[in-house]
Amino acid sequence: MNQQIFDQLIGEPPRTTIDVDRIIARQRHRQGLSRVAAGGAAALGVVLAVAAGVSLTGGTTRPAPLPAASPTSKPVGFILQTRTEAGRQETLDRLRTALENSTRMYAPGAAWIFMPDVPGAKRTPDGHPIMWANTPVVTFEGRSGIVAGGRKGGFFLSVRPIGIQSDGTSTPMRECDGSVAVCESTRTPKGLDLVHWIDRPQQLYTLYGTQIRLRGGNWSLTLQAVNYFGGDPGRVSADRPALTRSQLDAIATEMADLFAG
Amino acid sequence: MKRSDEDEFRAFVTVRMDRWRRAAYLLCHDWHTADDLVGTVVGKLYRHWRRVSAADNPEAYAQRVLTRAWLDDRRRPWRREHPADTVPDSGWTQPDRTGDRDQLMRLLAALGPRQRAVVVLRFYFDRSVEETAELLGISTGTVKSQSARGLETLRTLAYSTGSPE
Repeated sequence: MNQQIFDQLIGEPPRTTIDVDRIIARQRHRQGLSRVAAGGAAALGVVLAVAAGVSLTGGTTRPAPLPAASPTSKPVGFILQTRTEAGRQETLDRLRTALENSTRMYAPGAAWIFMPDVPGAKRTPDGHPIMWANTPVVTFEGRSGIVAGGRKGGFFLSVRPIGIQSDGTSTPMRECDGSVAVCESTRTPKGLDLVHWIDRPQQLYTLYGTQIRLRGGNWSLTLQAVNYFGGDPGRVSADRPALTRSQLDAIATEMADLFAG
Repeated sequence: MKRSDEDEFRAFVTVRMDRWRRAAYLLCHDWHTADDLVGTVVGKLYRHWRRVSAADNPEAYAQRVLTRAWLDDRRRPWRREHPADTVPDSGWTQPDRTGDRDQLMRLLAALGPRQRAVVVLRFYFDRSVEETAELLGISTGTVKSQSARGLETLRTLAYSTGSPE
């Protein structure tokens, strides 16, 4: 009934501008370029491996792009519990604790503050991110405002399955496809796939993102720090996100290391 | 992609194109932006077609991609919309239903992006409260409250336009 009402009110759509053939051709071209790039990257890897060998034998060592994991970040067998509400809640509690501990470690002085999701949202106490789990395809989510380095901004966390789920849905790892200002695929010191990016729409807003494929390969952890405040914001809250890129990477890496395979 | 897979992909997209466009229009209330959004969805589906076609419910996958594309767009502030009292010119009109469509667009434009997405997901795609909450990353309570408001307005519209209950 509802679809019918909507369709009646929308009326007859105008002729579409979507050219499926053109989209397919563009995707084919892109996939071809990706294959070429992958081959080039493999060759480059050999060159870099040789260069690294030279460096270790007396050259200058370049600092690692990511902070080394601390002694406290040894895997402790953190397993995502999805089957029962109690299990999901326990997982959420552990995720929040891990996030808060990691943030305290890599962004000392940062404070979690209430951030309204929608206008008029009921205020919750400051001090902790809001966490919740979605079902039936289970995902774990979190959001909060955060103040750090004299800046205020939004913060978002997601732990989602990568593969296709029972209902046909999935949240694949982010692809560096040129759609954002900066995007890089790399690995954490423990060898987990990591993608981090910067989006700078209109040169006004800045969004930092870090995504890590968790051990076992079936889930990803995504953290995002943004320089706006609220679920549907309009104005920037600072010249850049409250957390730096390196802090975001370090927090995500620290958290990812906690998960069991 | 093999020719047979590509034919299957085209058939899948062609059959659903109209509904995707309409849903995107309800979200964007602009046909050009709606077509951009659906074009993005078609590209993503093509790239992942092997997995999509192997899924139990490719339709659900496509709807999720559409919603995600909209949410990604929403997260980009330069495309962000704000509730407005007046509806911008969509660049296209259909004379016999202009008043009804404007009324619908006023309803949707008066909602925030995520509130609007709740209405579209719940009442156009017939998604459950839980599914809608999962897709939008909000609580089921928020979905329920937004759904109630949207449903009330829809009923008013249905009554005033004489649509079947």
